[in-house]
This record gives sequence, C-alpha cells and structure tokens, in this order.
Amino acid sequence: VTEEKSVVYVVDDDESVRRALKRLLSSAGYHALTFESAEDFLYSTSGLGEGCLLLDIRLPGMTGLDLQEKLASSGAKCSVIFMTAHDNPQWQERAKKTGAVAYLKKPFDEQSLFDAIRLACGKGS
Amino acid sequence: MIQKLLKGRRFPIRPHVFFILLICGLLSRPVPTHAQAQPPNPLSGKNVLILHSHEANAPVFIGTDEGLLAALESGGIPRLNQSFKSLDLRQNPSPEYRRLLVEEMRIRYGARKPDMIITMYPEALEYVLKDCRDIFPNIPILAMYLPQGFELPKSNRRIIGHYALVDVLGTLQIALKLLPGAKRVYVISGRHEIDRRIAEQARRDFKRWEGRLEFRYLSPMSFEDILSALANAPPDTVVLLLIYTEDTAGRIYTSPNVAQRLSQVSKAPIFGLLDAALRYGITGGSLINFEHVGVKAGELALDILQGTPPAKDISEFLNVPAVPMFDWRQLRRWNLSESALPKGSILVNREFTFWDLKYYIIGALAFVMAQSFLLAGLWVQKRRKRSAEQMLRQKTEELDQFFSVTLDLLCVANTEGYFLRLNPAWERSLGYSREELMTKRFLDFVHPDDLQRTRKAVSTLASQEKVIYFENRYRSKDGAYRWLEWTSAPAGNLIYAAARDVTERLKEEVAARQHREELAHVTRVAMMGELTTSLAHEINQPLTAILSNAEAAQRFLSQASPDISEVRQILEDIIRDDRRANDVVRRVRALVKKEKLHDEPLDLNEVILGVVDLIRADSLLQGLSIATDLSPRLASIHGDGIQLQQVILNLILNGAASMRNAPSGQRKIIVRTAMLDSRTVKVFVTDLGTGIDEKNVDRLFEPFYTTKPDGLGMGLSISQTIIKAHGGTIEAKNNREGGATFAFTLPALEGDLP
Repeated sequence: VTEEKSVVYVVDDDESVRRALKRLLSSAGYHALTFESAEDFLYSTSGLGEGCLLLDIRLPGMTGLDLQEKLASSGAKCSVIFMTAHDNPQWQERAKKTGAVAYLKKPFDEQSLFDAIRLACGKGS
Repeated sequence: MIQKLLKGRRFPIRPHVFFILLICGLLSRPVPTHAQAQPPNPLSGKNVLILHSHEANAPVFIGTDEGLLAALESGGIPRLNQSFKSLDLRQNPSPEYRRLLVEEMRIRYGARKPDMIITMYPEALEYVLKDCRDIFPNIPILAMYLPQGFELPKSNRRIIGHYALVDVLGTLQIALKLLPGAKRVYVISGRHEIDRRIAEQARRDFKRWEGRLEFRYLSPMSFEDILSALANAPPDTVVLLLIYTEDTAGRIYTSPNVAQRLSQVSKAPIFGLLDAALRYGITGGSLINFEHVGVKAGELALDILQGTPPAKDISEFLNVPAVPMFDWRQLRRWNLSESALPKGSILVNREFTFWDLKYYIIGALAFVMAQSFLLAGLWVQKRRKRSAEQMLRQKTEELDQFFSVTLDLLCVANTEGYFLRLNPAWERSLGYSREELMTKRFLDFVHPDDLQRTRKAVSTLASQEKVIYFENRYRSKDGAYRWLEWTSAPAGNLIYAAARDVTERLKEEVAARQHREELAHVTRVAMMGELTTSLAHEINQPLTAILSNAEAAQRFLSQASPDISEVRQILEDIIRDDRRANDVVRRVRALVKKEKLHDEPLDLNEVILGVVDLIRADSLLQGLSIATDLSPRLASIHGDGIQLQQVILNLILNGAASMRNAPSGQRKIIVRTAMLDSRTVKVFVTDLGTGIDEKNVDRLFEPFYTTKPDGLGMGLSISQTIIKAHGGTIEAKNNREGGATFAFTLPALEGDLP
C-alpha cells in the first residue's frame, strides 16, 4: 500500500475538520494535503498531480462548486468528491451535473469516504 | 360631624334678633313669612291630605301639624286645601272599622283627590298603601315618624320616608358639657315598646362612658319610686329622661306631664329628648322639635308639589336633626352657665332684665330712624340667604348624587382606623354591606402583605399630609382580594379618600404581558426556523470532525505499535469539538426555550456579539459580511437578554433579506453601538439593501406588515413591543448612501453612567 500512496487534497475552512480528515486518511494509508480555502488550493497546487479532491461546498470567498467549475474548464483531470454540512438538493444536482464522483453529507462515516475515494482514484487513473 | 354643623346653623336666631324682628313687624306692614307666598301661586290649587295613625291630641301631632300648616300655607297652599284627619287605628283595630273608614275616605276625598299625602306613624302609611290603594293610586306620600329600621315598602309611587330619630348621645354630651363634674347619670324610660327600644339603644351607646360615669337605669321602678329616687339624688347627678309613655302599672303619660312631675321633686337637673317637655321642667338637650319637623316636612312637600323630580334608584329620606334647646329658667335654677351651651342653641323662657333691654331699646330706636333703609337691607339679605341656602341644598344634593352613582369608592374615615361614611360603590366592589365595613377597623380588610405600607400611609395622613397613588389590596366578602388605588386627603383626624378598584386593569396588564411574551416566543421560534440551515452547519462541522477523529483513533489503535500520543491528541480534539457542538445547542435552546422574562443588568455589546456568533455561518453562506463597531464606553442596560437578542437578530435578518438580490460582495451589515446621551444607549443596524419604502415607514412596525414574499410580518412589530417594554424606542430610516438603518434606544442602567 505504501508504494502506491494516493494523494487526497482536502479543502475545508474548518481547521478541526481538516485535522480529523487528515488523520483518518493517513491511518488508511492515503497522503492527505489540506487547504483552508479554494483560493489557497489554487495557489499552492499549480502543478496538480494525480489524486482526488475532497471539497467542501460552503467556503469563504470562492465556493467549492465554483472551484470545480474552474478546474473543469481549465482541463484538470482531478476527480472531485463534494462534502457539505448542508443538505441542499440544488447543490447536489449541480454537483452531479459537473461530474463530481460523490456528494457526502457531513457527518459521514469512513466507509462512505473510502468508497468515494476508491471510486475517484479508479476513475482518475 | 356634618350634622352637628348643620345643627349649629339651622337656628342662628338669637333673642335680640327676635326682638328686632318684632319691632320691625310692629312698625311696618305685615311681613310675609315665606318668600314663596307671592301671588299668583301655582300651588294654590293643590290639596294635601295629612293622616294621623292615632289620636290627634298627642303632642307629636299637635306640634307637627302646626309646623306643616305654617309651611304649607306660606308656600301658597290655603288652609282649606289642607285636610288633617285622624285615623284612630290604634284604638279601633277591627276590620269592620277599617272598611267603614275606607268608605268615608272615598266619600270625603274621592272626588277632590289630594295631590300629596302625608302620613304619620307606619300604621297610617300602611293604611294608605293597602286599604286606600284604589282611592289614592300613584299619589306621592311623605311617610313621617317611621321607627328606626322600618323598611319603606317597594312601590311605583314616590314615597319619602322620615324617621323619628332621637338624639340620646347629643343630649348626654350637652349635659356633660354643662355639668363637667357629673359622676352619675339616672336614666329614666317607660315600659312601652317604643320606650324600651330607645332605652336599649341608649344603654348600648353609653357603654363607652361606663368607665367615667356611673349609669343607673330606673326603668324597672314604679313612677313613685322614680320620684323618690330623684328626690334623694346625690349631688353630681344628671337625670336623663328618655321616652316615658307608660309606667310599670300600665298608666299612660305625656311628656309634659312626666317632665313636670319629675322636675318638681328632682335634686338634679333633668335633660330630655323632646321639645314637648321643654318649659315643663327639663333643662334642655338635643331635642326633637315637632313643629320644626313639621316645617321641614311642609317644605319638602312643597318641593314635591312644585314638581322637583325624584332621585332615581335611591331611596329618598327626610332627615330633620335634633336641635339644642334649653329652658333659661332651669339653667338659672341649677346655676348652669349659658356660655357652655352649643352654638346655635335656642333658649326659651328667657326673662329680660332692664340691663338686657337697655341695648335693645337703643337698637330699636336706631332701627326706627333708619327703618326703611334697614328694612330694604334686611330683605335683600334674607333673599340672599335663602338663595344661598337653596344653592347649598342643591349642591349638597348634587354631591350626594355623585356620591351614590360614582364607580369610585369614596369614604370618610378617621385616623383611629374606622370608616365613618361609605358610598354604595363599596358594596358593589367588595360585597360587604357598608355596616359590615364600618363595624371593623379598615386595616382588618387589608391584605397582610400591605398592612405595613397602609399603616404608614395612615400615619402620613394623620400628620396632615396628602397621600396620592397609593395601592393596596382589600379583602372582599368572597375572600378574594381587590386592588385599590387611593388618593386621600386629611382634615384633622378625618380622612377623605377616593379609591378605584384597579383589579381588572392589573389582571389585563398581566395578561397583556403574558400575551406579549408568548408572541415574542412564537416569532423567536419561527426565526430559528429560518436559521436551521445555519444551525445544521454549525453542529454538523464538529460532528464530522469527531466522527473522523474517532475512526482514525480506532485505526491507529489496531496497528502493531500504536502511537499513543497521537491518540491522546485525537481525544483532546474530540472533546473540544463536542464542546463546540454543545455550545451551539445551548445557545439555540436559550432562544427557543420558553422562559420567564429576566430583568438583569446586561452589556449590550455582549448581547450583540452573541447574536453575530450564532449567525456568522449563515451570513457567510449568503455572502453576507457582518461588521461590528461597538463602543467600549457603552453603559449597561437592564432587561431580558434573550428578547434583546431576538430584536438584534431580527434587524440583521431583515437587513440581510433586503440585500438578497445584491451581488455577493456588496451584502454588508454593520452593527454599531453608541451612547446617545449620558442616559441613553443606542444600537444601529445598517444595511446596504434596497432601503425602506418611505411612504410606509409608519406601517413598518405594524403587525403582519411585510414586504417579504415569505415573511410573516411579525418581526418588527414584536421588536418594537420588546423595545417599548424595555423603556426604549425603535425607528427606521433610509441611508443617504443607500440601504436602511434600523436603530433602537434603551435607557442606561442608573449608577452605571459613563
């Protein structure tokens, strides 16, 4: 497992959530990189490689949905898993349309998370 | 008190005035005795029927008839139109007699019906009402000499009652004033039912003197024994002759007769109750003067015949107080000082010495010289006096009327703690009869928790200061307490007070407050509904972190060599996030929970920060930024934190709603606090939205007024209610640079002024 460590990019403005997800992903053998905003992610990952994006929808400034659209239009191949603390059917609809792999409602258990990541990585690679 | 004053004023005629009038009378043409005797008189055609219940030669009838005759005649009713008739009912109780009498009445008076009937003693009244119902229907009756406690029968016709009230206490007081050294009182009364009733009442009234005076009741003695007791009366004795119409042997007496025989032997001055005994040996007293009663009755009869409308719904009574009268010869016989007599006393049997007359002769000569001038003056004065008296009577009647009809509770009380006079409103409000209220101390009716304050108010009044806006609770007959609001003014040891029953108003106020709280709660809950997405977010975030952390910990622990310090770190994070979630729940619960209104010192800045914290997530979601500009020198206020949070939350949500269609970066709300002046705190909530409709600015705070498609329209209305209840005001204005500012003020907490 250690050899083919997949990278998971986590974007969430809540520090506590970032820390917890990073721990969980690490314990499952993923390499997690965390960002507190969409802008922060765009800045520091100009050379975005393989992996998937675990993206919170509600973010200060650019929202998760905006970011995904931007990435899609720029031709990035990164697969996206949305997560949100709100249950908003419109967002879910929009996320599906733009080709998101999964739409996770917070709080979610590890099974749903890992299933989504496996799906994303399989799709992405 | 009032009666005493009247007593003093009714007969202000002094002997020398009598004398002067006499001379004037001799020197001028006959002076009419009554101003109403001016022809043409509308009363000259009226008939009055006077009915005595029994033998007409009793002093009471002779005196009363004389007074009546004089008053009626001077009022314009000729003697021919006044019929006096003795019914002799006491001597002839048989039904046969009564029937014949009815026939006689029909024959005598059936054709020329009287316009007014005056009856004396209850038998005569009952006879007219029952036996003569068909002959004299609907003719007004003046029923004189009713025994105390006699209830006037219910009738469609106008019946005015007059009670034979003797003034035993007044007479005793006069006797004690004339003989301050008196040690014992011999009380004489007969054994007839009326005699006994008055004696029993006297015995009760004398209770309070018993420590000071020795009372000896001679009623069980034969008349001869009474005579010998009086003949051997020790010095310092006062004799009180009550009513004596029948002795122990059943012999009948008249008051002149009794007075004469007692005074011939008595070693002590005798005081009485009836004018009829005066001139026959009694020294005097507060006396019932039958002639005077007759005059007053006649005057009242004239009023009625002239068409004075009856007082509605209240019983009408003729009240003729007793008059202080004395025998000048008896005063000299017992060596009693004229100066101790009460003001307005009447003296009879006065013998004029030359010294006395000297001044009258000089005065008379002066009168003769200026006769015409003075006569005119006298007339003017007399007329003025009459019109003043009439006005006074009218005023008194008016006041009595107000006293009876007002819904307010009016009373006269004394500083010893008793009610002396109460109006009928008391009975309606408390359910007790006025007698019940007057026999106890008024403090006995006051709620135990209000006693101390009430005592204090009474002592304030006793020190001759007014008491206004005083509230206390009085127990009503059903045991419930009524809130009374008082305004009272002192006058010596009397208290004049008006109270208003404010129980219902207070109940309504409590109900209104409860209603307001309910409404505030309901709208608060509704507002929380609007915030659910935000709240879900605030709770789901920590829950997500907790779950992921816990799962990570499980994985770490299942490894061969778990990193314990990492697991410890995880547990700390979990605890922190749990607290975070709990905090949100606690705040929401505080807003939604139905709690009793608090009234506590509050820092408004903290209240505002609490609200902004709660909706921060939601505001971010809407691309809304909430800025605060809070004055560090803000004074504390007092009130209910939850309700004030509700107001601020409502104003912020309103502002946010007005910017719903604005671009994300331009949705901005500023909450600012400042001291408006040293006593007022002001909060401004400014938005950059569409502003308010200036035309409808007044309607903004009305309930159910809304410009939002999904709004209930209660938010601003409730906010205004809350701010008003906190003693503040709320307003709305458009900003010059766009958007609107809602602002409210609150009074600064006293003692916390910056």
